[in-house]
Amino acid sequence: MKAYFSRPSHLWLAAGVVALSLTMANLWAQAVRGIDPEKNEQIERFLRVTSAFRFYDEIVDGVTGQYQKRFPQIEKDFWVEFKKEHTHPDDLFNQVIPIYAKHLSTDDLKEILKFFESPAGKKYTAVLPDLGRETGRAALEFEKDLNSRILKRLKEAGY
Amino acid sequence: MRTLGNVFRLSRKTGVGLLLIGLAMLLQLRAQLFIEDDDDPYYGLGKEKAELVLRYMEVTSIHSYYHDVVESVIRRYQQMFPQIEPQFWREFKQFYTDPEDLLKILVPVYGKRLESGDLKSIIAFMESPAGRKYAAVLPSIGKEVAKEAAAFEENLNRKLLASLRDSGYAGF
Repeated sequence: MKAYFSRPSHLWLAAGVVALSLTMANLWAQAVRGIDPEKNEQIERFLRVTSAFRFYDEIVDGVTGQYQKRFPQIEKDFWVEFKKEHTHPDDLFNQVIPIYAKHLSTDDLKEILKFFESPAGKKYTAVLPDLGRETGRAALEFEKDLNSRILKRLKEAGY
Repeated sequence: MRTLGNVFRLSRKTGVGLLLIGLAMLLQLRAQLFIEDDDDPYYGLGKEKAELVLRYMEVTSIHSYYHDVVESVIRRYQQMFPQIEPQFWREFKQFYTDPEDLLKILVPVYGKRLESGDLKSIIAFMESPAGRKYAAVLPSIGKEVAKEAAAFEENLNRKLLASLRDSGYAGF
């Protein structure tokens, strides 16, 4: 315990500055989003547990990847710098979080989180992308079959 | 030296064993055929799980997906061939389409990915007031989020082009 407290004071100062800036950043984000801190925290938790935060990376990687493919002569450093200097999840989530806040109350979010943070909820979130893909494939198969049935029936009806 | 009779007796023993194995294999094959049988009302999942998947599809409105697909395909044909009488489409829907066609494909997909216990928990949540509200507002949230995501992407493209220009890359 003694050793713990006898760490150089500049480390404590640095930790304090980091904690303070994180709190400030959080308060700033909440102020920008215009919603109460508890609700903001619940929505952030919901987005984390449902992996919605990944959505931001997918867009950024999608856009930059497209340019990287088209212009391979652009140096790798440029992309690293660009992402560091010009992109931040808040650019998207400052707009997205108020949408959730508008549609769901704190009580709704409490219950929704209870489910999504349970083992069944986590499993559900994990399989949803695969389910979506397979449902899409099944729907295409069904649509293809429906199309050929319509064409057959039209022929039979003399059209 | 083994006589023919000995060999036969041995073969009978082995034969009984082989027969039992063969019967077991036949039963297994029969069960497999039953699973893949189009007439299986439980889609190869068994009664309890099939009912859970169907209930899940109902509470998450996946059921209505069938009508959406049928309506959109028919609407496309109606636009392409306006001369076809409305009666034709009414009859087509009545006699030549069946929700079962989509369920046959989808139910096994959901049954494979989710255990009965998971399905029970998901259904319990979806049937709770919070779950119902969540399901009801999800389409609106999805639409609004997609709009914001598109705006974010557009802005990102703009920032990227400006940054490329500033870094001296010609042609941007």
